[in-house]
Amino acid sequence: MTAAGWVAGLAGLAAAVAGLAPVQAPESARPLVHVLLAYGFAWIALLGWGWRVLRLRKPKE
Amino acid sequence: MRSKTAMIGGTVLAAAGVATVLVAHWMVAFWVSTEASMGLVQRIFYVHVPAAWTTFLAFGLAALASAAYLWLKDERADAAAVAAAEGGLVFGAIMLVSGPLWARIAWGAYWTWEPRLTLTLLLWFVYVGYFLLRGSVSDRQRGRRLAAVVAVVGALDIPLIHVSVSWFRSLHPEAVVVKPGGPTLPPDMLATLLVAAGGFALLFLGLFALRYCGEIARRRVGGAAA
Repeated sequence: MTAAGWVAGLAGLAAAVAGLAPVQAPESARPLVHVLLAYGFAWIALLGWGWRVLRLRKPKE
Repeated sequence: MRSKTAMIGGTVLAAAGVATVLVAHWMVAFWVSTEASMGLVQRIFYVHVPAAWTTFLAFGLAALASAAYLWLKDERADAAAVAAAEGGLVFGAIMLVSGPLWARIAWGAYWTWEPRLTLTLLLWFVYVGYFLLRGSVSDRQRGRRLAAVVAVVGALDIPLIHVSVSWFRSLHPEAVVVKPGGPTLPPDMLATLLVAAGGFALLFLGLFALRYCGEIARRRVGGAAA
């Protein structure tokens, strides 16, 4: 995937997270849902970059 | 040989970063006290602020490497700028997603067009533009030079973001750590924040080193894209 495609994917993922956030969770559970979404997105983004870095580590001849 | 050393160094730093981030997560979940007024949602602070600091580190590094590229015309400086800017976009995305998730509970709105948020979003888009510009100019060397100028100019936004909360009327809280009078956070919150920030910084530096090595190797075999 190109860098531009990768950025577009990340932006799409961010939009998906933003779309997930207002799900009709009970009022009392909403802070926990938001905390889990924030940490979940962070892990997905970091694993995504880590995967890309490892894939590009050895270029194809 | 030097590349192999950088690869090993990068791997060690990234592994140390993952371990430190896991320790920080344990502290966030089980150790640090809950903030009195905001409650549970304040725990987003320990991912939002470290992501912001790491973003500024990454884009600052990209700007320095870009300035070095413009001055020395050294391909290695451009490769370093690409690796740092890529990391900056990732940590910037984490900052820009975690902030609104926190704001929705704390302020009642995901986003407001107040100075710090607007300048931060602008910084992120400037570096998206950095990659778009590299890919859109047919003369590869020219594209790299123009992108380097964008990286240097874009980084001027970083100090503006830092001072925006004190210069303008802002909804965003003022700095609680990097301020003239020293940190005003309770010790357990400060410790958790610093461990999380250290983990993110290690992870960034490790992945940056590995990405830099990959970029150099890619250019050597002639497959460099933009």
